[in-house]
Amino acid sequence: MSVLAILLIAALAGVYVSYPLWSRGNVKGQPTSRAMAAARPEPAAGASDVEELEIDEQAGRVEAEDYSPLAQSYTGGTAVSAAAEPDDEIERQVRALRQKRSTQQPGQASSTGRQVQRRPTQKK
Amino acid sequence: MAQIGYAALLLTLIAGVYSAVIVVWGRQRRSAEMIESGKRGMVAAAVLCSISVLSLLYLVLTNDFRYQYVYETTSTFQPLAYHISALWQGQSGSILFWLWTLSLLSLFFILLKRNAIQPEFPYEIAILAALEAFFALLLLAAANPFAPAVEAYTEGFGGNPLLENPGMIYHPPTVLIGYAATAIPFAAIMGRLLAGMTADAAWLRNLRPWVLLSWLLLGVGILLGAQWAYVELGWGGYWAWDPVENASLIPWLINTAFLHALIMQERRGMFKLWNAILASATFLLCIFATWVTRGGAVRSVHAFGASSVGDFFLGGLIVLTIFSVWVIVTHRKQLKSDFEIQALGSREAAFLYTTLLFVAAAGLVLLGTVFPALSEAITGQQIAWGAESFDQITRILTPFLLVLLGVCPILGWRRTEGSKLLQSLLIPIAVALIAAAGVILLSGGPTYAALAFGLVSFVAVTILAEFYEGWRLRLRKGEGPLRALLHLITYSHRRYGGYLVHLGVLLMVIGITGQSLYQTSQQVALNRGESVTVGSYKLQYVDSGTEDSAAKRRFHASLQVYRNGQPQFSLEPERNYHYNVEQWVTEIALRSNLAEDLYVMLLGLEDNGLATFEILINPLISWLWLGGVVVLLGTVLAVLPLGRRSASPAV
Repeated sequence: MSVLAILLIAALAGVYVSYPLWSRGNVKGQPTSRAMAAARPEPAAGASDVEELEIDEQAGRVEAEDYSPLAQSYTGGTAVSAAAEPDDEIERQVRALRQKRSTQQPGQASSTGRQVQRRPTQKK
Repeated sequence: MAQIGYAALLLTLIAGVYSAVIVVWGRQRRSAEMIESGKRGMVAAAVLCSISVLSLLYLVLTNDFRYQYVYETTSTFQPLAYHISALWQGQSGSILFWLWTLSLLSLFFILLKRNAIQPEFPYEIAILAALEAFFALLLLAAANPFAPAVEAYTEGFGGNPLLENPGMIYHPPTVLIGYAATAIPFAAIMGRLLAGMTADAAWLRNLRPWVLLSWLLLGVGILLGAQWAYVELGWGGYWAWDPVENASLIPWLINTAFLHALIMQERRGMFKLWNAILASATFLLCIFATWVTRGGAVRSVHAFGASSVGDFFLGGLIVLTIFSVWVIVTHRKQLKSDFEIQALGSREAAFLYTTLLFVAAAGLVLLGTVFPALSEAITGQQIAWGAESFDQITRILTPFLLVLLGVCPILGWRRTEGSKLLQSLLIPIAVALIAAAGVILLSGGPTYAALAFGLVSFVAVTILAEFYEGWRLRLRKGEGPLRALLHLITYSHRRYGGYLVHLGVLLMVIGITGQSLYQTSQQVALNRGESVTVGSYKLQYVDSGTEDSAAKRRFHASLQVYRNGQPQFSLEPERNYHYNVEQWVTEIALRSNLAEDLYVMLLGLEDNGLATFEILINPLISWLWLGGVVVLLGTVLAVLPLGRRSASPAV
């Protein structure tokens, strides 16, 4: 009985773990290789931190010349590393490809010879 | 069931190794499918490890003494709660629990990532999976909790009676989860470096809750341990500078330094190298602590005996140290600071001093802990530091810490104008002087108490002033008084949560100072009907008795306590003989309030009824535990996703 249970657990674990490798990207919610290459850090934002800086500014603990870059680092500061991202080149290519596709009409042949199909978009 | 538990552990090892390998390979091949498979390996490892834990729990709950672990940790006499706590009471069980919490925390960390396709993600998985594999291998090779018993037992040996305390239910798991939680910031920072990326403010903001979580769990675990020692070990104190206690304290001190230095990296892009070192050191010291307690590296009241587990931990520690040093050295260009400290009186400099102070404290405690082993290796003779040496270090460092706690919020970024600083310090210094004078006048007591309470008052005023300034700013914006206070705390919850933590620390300092400087104790032998006066209490010995049970022989004495001639309450200390370990265990009697604790131990009970008691009055000790609660609340406030936030990336 124990042996059967162990074999069942092992088989289930094996199938679950290896599924992305043989399912050809059909896993729901799984990022594709292309999406992985295109990923980049999102900008940071933190209103509460700006507020904290405001308190410091009121108390004269942060000067105007420091305040702006500090506040900016919370509200608009994209990741410093984004520029040094090794996937930048792939990302640039993906962006160019998307732009090219968006200029093509539905049904028009793409550069790869396949039909470009527009996905139905969902209004929020 | 044991076979299933063992097999699940074996499969955890396989899943861990598989995940570690396939994600790195997937990263090189830029295959999201391989990375997803590795991520699923982590899910599988967590599930498999849970199966293993549940299997052991089943064996323990069913008193299956065919297995050595069950025999050593339980008996049929134990209540259900101690059957469950047997899971982490023994050596192999506690390591399995370590692995389980690591696997679950790693799983949460991975699943909570909203942007799971960031470049460091595969490396984070690889590091965490490798750590899980290490623990699984250790269990399978050196500390198998499913090993059959060496002989046929009909009854369990049962746990150490000292461990039969509610503290056993919550203290070890909290510390172990705290240890495991330090793996997350370690893996995140190492992963980020390996991916060739810099840790920016947005990324650090999302890492911070994990650092706080590990800091909080470890801190609460340590405090719960202290509370357990206070009520169970029966020596009147809560901290003995035992190697096992120190082993948990050291990573917590380094983690505290890390937590503060991380703020500087997030705000000013400074201390990057320092933070990578501190994150690694925190985790490595948790492994060191596990080695000390579980591997038999040192002799202690509550350490396990020497075993091959120790060799595994030492090996793991060496490998992890080499790995950390290699990653930091080879990626040092990513760790260059964006800014330099411009003035010694700036807030940046104050954070550096704070960090250095905690590192120094950790270094000294570490030195004192390993000193017996060091001295033996060098001179052939073991020389141990006494508790007095550690106390001396604490007495020297605490005032510096309090000064920093008070001054840091007042200091300006980059530089501080002397006149503004003086203006801000005027009232806190005046209050501190009044408090110190009051302590000297009232108690005529030690000058150290005046210094400590004066500094506590100084810090309290500066923190409350911070609350007041923030509140006033919001009032000026047109908010009502209550709304302003609520918004102040919820919008700037990180800052004010931090201040609340600092207030909690102040309460703890009050408790520690009161207990260590003003404790009174008296040892007395009384016949029935006789009484003794200690402080403002008069204790009358009323009666005594003995009771036999299968597990122990219970000796107890009852005392009626009077104050100002009026009966107040009765106390019943015990002294029990436990048959399994052939050992006497004291069960103290305690009456506690904010001013002081009346703490009574029964040291001996003769056949003719003559009883020997030790009676202690521990002033202000409740403030220590109260401070712990405030620290907990402050940390929760700092971690909670309150206030106005917009989308930010997951770590």
